[in-house]
Amino acid sequence: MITLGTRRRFVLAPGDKWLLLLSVLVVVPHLTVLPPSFAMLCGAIWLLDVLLLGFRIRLGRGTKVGLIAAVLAILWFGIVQATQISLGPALVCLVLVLKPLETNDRRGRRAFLLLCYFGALIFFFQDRDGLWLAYYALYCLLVTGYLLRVEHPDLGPGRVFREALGLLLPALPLALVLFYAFPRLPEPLWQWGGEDGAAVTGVPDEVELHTLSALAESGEVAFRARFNGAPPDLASLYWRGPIYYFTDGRVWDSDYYLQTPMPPERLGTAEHGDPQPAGGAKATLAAIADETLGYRISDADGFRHWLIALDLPVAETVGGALTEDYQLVPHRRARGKVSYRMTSALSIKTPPDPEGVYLKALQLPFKSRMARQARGMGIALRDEYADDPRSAEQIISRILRHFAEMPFVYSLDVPPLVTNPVDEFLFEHRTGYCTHYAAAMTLILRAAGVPARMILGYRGGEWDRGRDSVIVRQKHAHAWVEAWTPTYGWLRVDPTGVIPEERVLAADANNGNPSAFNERVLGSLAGKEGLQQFLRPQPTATGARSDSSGGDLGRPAPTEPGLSFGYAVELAEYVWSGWIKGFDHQRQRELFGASDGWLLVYGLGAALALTLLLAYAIWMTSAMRRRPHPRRDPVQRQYARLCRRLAKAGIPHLPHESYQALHARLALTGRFDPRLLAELFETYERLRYRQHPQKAAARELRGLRRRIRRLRIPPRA
Amino acid sequence: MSVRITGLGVGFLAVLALTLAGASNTNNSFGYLLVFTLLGLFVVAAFRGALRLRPLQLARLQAESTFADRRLAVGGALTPIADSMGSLFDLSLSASSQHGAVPGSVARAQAGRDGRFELTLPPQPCGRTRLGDCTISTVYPAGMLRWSLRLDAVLASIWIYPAPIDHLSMAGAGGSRHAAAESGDFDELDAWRDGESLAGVCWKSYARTGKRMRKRFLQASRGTELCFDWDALPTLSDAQKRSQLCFWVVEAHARGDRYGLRLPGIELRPDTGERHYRRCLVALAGSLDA
Repeated sequence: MITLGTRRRFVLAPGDKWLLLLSVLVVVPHLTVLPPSFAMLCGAIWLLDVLLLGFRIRLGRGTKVGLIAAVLAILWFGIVQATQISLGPALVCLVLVLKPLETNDRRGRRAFLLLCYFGALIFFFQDRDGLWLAYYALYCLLVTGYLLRVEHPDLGPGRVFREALGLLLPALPLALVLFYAFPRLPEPLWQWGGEDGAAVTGVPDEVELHTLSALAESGEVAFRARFNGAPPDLASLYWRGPIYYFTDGRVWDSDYYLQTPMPPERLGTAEHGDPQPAGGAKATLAAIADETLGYRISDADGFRHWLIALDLPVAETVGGALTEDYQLVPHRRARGKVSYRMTSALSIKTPPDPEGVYLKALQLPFKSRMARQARGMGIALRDEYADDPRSAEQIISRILRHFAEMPFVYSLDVPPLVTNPVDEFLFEHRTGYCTHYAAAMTLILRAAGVPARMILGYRGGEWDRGRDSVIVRQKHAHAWVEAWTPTYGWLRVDPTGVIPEERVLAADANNGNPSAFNERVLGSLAGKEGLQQFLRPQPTATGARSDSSGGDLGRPAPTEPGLSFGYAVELAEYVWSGWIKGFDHQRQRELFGASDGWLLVYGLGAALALTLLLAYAIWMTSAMRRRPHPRRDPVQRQYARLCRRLAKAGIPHLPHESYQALHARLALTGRFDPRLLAELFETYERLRYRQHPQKAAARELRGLRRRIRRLRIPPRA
Repeated sequence: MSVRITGLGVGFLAVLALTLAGASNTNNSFGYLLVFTLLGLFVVAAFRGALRLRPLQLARLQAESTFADRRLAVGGALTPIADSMGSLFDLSLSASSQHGAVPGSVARAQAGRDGRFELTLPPQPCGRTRLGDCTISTVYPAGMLRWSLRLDAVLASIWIYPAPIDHLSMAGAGGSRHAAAESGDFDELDAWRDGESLAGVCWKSYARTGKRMRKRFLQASRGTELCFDWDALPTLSDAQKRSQLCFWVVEAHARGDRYGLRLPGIELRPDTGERHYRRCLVALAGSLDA
């Protein structure tokens, strides 16, 4: 039922204008991430709001229920079924859009304002840009102002917003304290439905040969790393991501669901009674390594089945464990950015692995037609070096030389590889980038009987000279090969590095100078020592540290970061991402100096919160005690002072005694100078009972004070 | 000073708790910042409400003695009031008789912008009534907490006189009635005041002017002495006796008669004037307790 008011002229009451304005302001940012059809629905309801409120048309209860049912039906059948919409924010938006229709009293306005706060806050359940924070902070100021207006209608509009500002500005210091002290969770307590990592950018769990090309132009920060102590050469930094064993010749699959943990003996975490590893190796990885390097990864995507680590990780971190093939995997996937500490070894000969690892690393596509020519090449190499005791190293050298000497081209512009990608790349187009080279080399090695696996990750990064940290962007994504040799263990082989500079056709002209690297590799291919180039670490040719490396999927691309505006921007970005947007459990632990475990952080947070509460309670108690009473008359204060002095001398002032009676009693004792006594009491009387001009009263009061001070009270006889 | 959270405050904290849980789960720093800022707003609002209420005092409390069938009007002001923000404060005041609190004798009002307030208490039983148990409260600034400041002291003590009700006709009940009253001849008109009997109103004048005027019988009353005697009303109950005697006193005072009052243990000799009138009323109000 619709009830028409008496006035039909279109007039929006100020209160209704505010409701509509607040409704629009809180919902519009949500609409930027919701489908356009939903925005149209909201627009239609707003129009209805304006018309109904403007013409004073009140909806009956049945009509309201019908309207809500219709809106929900449109949402469900028209929008939810057709689009991927986040139902939670959409429902909150609808409530905010519909609520003005039934908000006609103070109670309704209060409920609406609470919804406004809620609508603003839930916007940040997803990762949002910082500008939205400023937007919603201003919005909260507006809502608070209107809340004050609702609570105190007598206050003028300017006054309420000044009051709102007076509430929000003093709240900021407390907010900052809580922001840093409130215990952060190391991992989410629950996962939202419908999150499968599809929206996460970066290296995927499953790749085809062309997959990484999309990342080549992406300047998005993949993660940051900060080293403890002397930072290494950027060219030697290979950031290890997922490991790919299984392939059908076209698609490579990371086996995150088949991972076996690293034996605890290798990590030095074995407890008494744990079985010894099959290989009999008792030394930990950290002990085997020549030198370990500690560092901290921050801003890394936590919603992966793997965590990034510098090649080659030798220890575990709080939030992640190491698998037997040196892959860091999170204990639990965390939504948003994660930070963690890690230890890696740039130079290490890995100990033998269980047999199963080698078997996985020898898998070839099931269909024999896939990579047939590559297999043939591998078999030929196997036969050629069958008698060589270091056949694996020789085969690796031969493949690299093949890439270097044959007209292979490094380019992001790869012709479509349709039916048999590896063979088409190796023997037809000979144009590709890191994944092509790595995939092809892996298959050839496997066919030759050398266990090999493809590693995806990042190479190099941008050196942040002033802050000892490295920024790794998505464009630094890279793929390389790990091959097993009895002499060196798992050996990192980067086939893209051997492509001569003249055959590099990457889109980015600022590729740096790969020739020095390639010359080192190619020049040493003939000798056994040449394999050292592929061992961890990659020795530096000149000994000077390059400031940047990587770019365009693994091509070295050193760049000098500017020290002026660009540096300042970078610094601001670092602070913003590290200490504001990216402030997390790990960073909090560092801030509070927590050595281990998150209990300390929680304890500190709880202690701080308790201290704040106690301070608040004490303040309030003292505030209650300090109930102001009328300020005591200064004349009476002086009279009380006189009485105290007399009491000390054994002449207490009696409760019922007037000042004249006291005067008479003192005079009777004979212990006082009568003249002085008379002057004193006369002054008191004048001050107490006569009107004085202000100045004269002050003078008289000084006189009274002086007389009381000078009054000599002789001791009792 | 005490504090109580309002429904709005509960809702606000619930919104913050809900969104804090969401921000914690997603480790969303912006969510944290906004939630903590609003939490800070809540705390700051609590402080500001307490600070605004703390220095308040009640001043210029005014309440006049009245009859038991009339509502009790109380006026006063809150000080200090800054920036004309007196309307932020609510005030409640209760009355209690000498025998204890009267149920429902609590009046609530919102102060004006200058802090002044007027309360109307329901009719009180006759006797000595104390005004006190005053509570000043405010939901300033954000309506989420209600701070209350209680002033326990007795702020004022007033007499509530018996309701002047004519249970009997005057003629046969222990007092002599002036003949002039029946004849309608009177000497002058005087302004009729609240609490005076309607019997003395000059209705002719009221019809002409719209103002109630009281008839004064100056000549006739001279030399007339009335004595209202408690024991001369044997058919009435004590409360009725007090009402009846009060009615006569009001009447007699309105006429300007010399009248006296004889109560158990109290005798007020015939006299005239405002002071005598008040003494008689107080004697009647306290006669049972005397």
